[in-house]
Amino acid sequence: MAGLPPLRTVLRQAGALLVAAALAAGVAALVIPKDRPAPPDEGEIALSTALQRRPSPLWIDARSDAEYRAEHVPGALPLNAENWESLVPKVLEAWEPGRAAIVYCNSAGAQGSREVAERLRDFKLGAVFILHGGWKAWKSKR
Amino acid sequence: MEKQTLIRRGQAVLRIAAGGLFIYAGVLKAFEPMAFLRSIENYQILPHAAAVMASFYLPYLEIFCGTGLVFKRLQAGALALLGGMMLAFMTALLAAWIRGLDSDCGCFGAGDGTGHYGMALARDFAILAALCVLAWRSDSER
Repeated sequence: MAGLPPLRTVLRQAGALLVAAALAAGVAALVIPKDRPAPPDEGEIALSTALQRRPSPLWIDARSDAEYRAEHVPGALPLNAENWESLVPKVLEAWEPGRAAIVYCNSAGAQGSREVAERLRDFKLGAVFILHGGWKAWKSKR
Repeated sequence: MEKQTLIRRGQAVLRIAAGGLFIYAGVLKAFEPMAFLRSIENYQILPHAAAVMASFYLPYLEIFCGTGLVFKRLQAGALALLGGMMLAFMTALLAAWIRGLDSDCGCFGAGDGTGHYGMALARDFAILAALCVLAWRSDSER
């Protein structure tokens, strides 16, 4: 049968689903500890581990240019896919062989940091990690 | 085969595929609420407390609504809620795109590999269109 269902039916059914989901979410919130951190993915590094690395890692900011200009990890160099050609020479100049590079953007799983990390690995100058939790992890711990 | 029979079968396939997709997306996020929370926070729209609630609530709402579609129960309500969620997701994606944020879509858990906002928006638009077709043709009394 073609046509939209009566509004009262829609609201009644939607209400039942909203309540059922709220109950399930409530149980889940009790069972799953909220302070459990998301597990790091392969190639990611936790901030605490990154800060302990010696020699100190080269920080790469893969966020947008505007976000980098607003604030960034001290000493970090900007590098993103959009302006790769103009930004990469400065990174290669600062990256001594054997020194680890840590890439961050707004989230550890974001495409920007993954792409930059993959392209940096091609230079084979040193280990390349993605900061677990990204910029937010840095901001919340500093 | 009669035209009506073909249309009914097509609708059934669309309904089960759409329901299955939301169950899949919801289960992925329900298992990793902290990773989903990270994705929500990357959009920089909701305050932390609201983002925590959404990270626990939305996956179960997707699961219940998806189940409603698959089993043809509370279908009108499920379609209305899923349509509303798709509009909200698309608005968030568009806002992130306009603001130049480099964040994960988070639609299918953290790091879901949707590399571009345009692709994610096109996918969400296609899902929304499918939901509209189902809503128009649904049997409202179920």
